[in-house]
Amino acid sequence: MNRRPLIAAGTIMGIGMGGFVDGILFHQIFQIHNMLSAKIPPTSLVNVETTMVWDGLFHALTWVMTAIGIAMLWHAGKQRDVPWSGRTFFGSMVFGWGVFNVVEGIIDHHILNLHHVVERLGVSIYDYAFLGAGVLFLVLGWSIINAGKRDDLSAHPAPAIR
Amino acid sequence: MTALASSASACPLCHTETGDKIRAAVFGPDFWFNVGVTVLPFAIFLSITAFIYFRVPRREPRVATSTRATAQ
Repeated sequence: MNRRPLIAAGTIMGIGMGGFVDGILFHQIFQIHNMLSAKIPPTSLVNVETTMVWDGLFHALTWVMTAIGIAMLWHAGKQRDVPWSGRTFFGSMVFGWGVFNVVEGIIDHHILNLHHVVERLGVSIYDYAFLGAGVLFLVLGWSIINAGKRDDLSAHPAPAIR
Repeated sequence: MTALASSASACPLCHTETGDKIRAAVFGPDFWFNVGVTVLPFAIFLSITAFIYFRVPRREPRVATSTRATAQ
């Protein structure tokens, strides 16, 4: 039994979905930050349009992560030794969302200072809450993945060997 | 009216004064730096996914190997 293809597919899809939550919720609906809003403050039409371009690149890369995840999931579904476990896949997606928050939070919010969760506050409690949520998702996802160890190959979608 | 016309034609591909300013801001001296820092987390995401997919499986316990050797 080989769970790695399903865990990898779920992880990268979770990274993509986590990225879309960030981009859609924080960049577009709430507009509390943009990809480079600490460098290019949205104080003029030109600046807003410029940061929108970099938001677009961020969303394009997030889309690529999700597309790779779909391809990996398709590939995993064709491998007979991969257990088709909902818990393993769902746990991996939660784990992936945690990976997104932790990596993006540390690099973009704290090391490179490209943007912060609430830009007008700079580094604030919300940036640490973002990281904390990431760690929580990592632990929760990992525990769900571990619970999926008990799932066997019985529900696998690949056709039986004749 | 001038403000409306300016807003309506403010896009990176527009051939207007505002469009020119947006292109100049996007493709400025720090263009490749901005591309790099935007791509950087995604390179790490791909590395983590590749590690999960390709990581070397755990070794079998040495005891099993030595038992097999003894049996032969």
